[in-house]
Amino acid sequence: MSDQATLNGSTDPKPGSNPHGSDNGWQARLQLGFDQVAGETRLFKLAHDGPLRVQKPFYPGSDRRECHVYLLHPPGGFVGNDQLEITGALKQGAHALLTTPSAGKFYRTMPGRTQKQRLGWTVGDGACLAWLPQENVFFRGCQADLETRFNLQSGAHLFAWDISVFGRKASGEKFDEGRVSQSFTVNMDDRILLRERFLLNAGAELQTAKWGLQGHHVMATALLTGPAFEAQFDNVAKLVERWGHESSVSAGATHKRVIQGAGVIIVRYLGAKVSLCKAHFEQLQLLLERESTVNWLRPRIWNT
Amino acid sequence: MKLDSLELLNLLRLSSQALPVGAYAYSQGLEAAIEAGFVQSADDTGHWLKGLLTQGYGRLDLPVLVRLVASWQEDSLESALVWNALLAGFRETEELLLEDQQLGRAFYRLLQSEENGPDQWPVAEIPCFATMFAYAAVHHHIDLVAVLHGFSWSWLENLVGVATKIVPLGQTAAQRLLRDLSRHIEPVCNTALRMTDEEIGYSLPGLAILSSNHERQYVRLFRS
Repeated sequence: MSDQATLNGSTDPKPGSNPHGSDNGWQARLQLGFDQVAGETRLFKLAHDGPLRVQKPFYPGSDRRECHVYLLHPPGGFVGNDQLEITGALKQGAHALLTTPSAGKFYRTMPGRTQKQRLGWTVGDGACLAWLPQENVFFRGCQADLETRFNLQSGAHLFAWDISVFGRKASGEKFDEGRVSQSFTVNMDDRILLRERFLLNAGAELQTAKWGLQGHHVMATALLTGPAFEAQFDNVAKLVERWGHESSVSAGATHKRVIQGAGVIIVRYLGAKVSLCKAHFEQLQLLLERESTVNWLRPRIWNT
Repeated sequence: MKLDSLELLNLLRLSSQALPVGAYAYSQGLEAAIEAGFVQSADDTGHWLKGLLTQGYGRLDLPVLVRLVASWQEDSLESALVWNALLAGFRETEELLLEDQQLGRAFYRLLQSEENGPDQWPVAEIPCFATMFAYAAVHHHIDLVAVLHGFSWSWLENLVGVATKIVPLGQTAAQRLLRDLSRHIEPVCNTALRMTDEEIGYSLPGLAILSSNHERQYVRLFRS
């Protein structure tokens, strides 16, 4: 029996029952490995366990340099005790873009029945990872615990974003119950470039305070590392400043350099509309596509 | 908390605004919050600082200070470097990182000039402020709980000083704020003492955005 019996008025029950049919939640694991041989990026390793699938990789460009992969999120979303773990590695010179065709969903569950997501990526010298998933929607009453870790070698490029939506405002649901814990780590050659530990207990001052979410229910972060991306900081900062002119958006960009040659651009975003946030982040992607020497093509999936 | 005369006086010296590390040049996002209109009065200042003390500073700087004191007590440079790197990693923006590193460097030079600095500190690593504060406190054998109180007080006094200059606040209002906010220091220190390694850290997106935009604020008095 899954948690759906306890959804208690939530209107989006997960279709079908828990695939493992147990109260322990499902556990899904996915391992991906990319390498580069003669200018072609290959998905040379793919291992999965549990309800998580990957569509056949494809190459949208004129050559096979850049590989796009769509991750099909687990059926419907996370209920209590569900666990998802994705680990991936890009070897030297590999270029991969990963995205998801639909939003991640963390449903209402009981305290203690934590919904866990663990993402861990390693990116080698000369490799480029674009990790651009759709948003995560945290339903009222969820108990989500997410950890994301990027281990980079110097000379690696990373463009990653994370978009979180607290409560389903469109259906009048506020995030006034539940808990979301989210941590990010970006390391370069074992040195910490960035750590964040966001912890939202529904009803806490963090939701409304000007140092916190400022009353917004959409929170997003984009991270850029690697020389070709970091060289674009002025352009990124100007773009982000323009977003801030929208009355419903608060956004900022910084270029944090822990030591010489080891930096990360961090774009932070608070807003009232997830569609606007995604439109803004796509502008960021277009900017990098246009201006930087590392380029890729827009995932076709976003056009639908 | 037990201090002899010299321990107390050294703690007062380390926690004083007169400590020549340049803390007066930084506002930790408060200037940006004032510029944005979020902090306009003594009451606003009090709410702002209480929020940062309990949700930010008290969840990172204080529990890390506890561990840095332990590292230096055990004479473990290796451990001090790990916690120092974590502090730098958690700084949300370039200006907040630079603030911590510039204060830390100045503190390091001060300790070296007093001939009781951490000689073994590697040249390639930039010390954060708390790392050097912990070193000096251990050198003077100051009680851990007292160290946490002194460290919190210097943070608080500096930021109330910022507000006094640019909100602006009167001297009496500033003293009242310090008196009222001081009441939160003991519980915050107690929480810091109880925190596990896994609980350390925070993310305050609003503050990080304000600080990011402060980096490019056209007219500003403070460097953070």
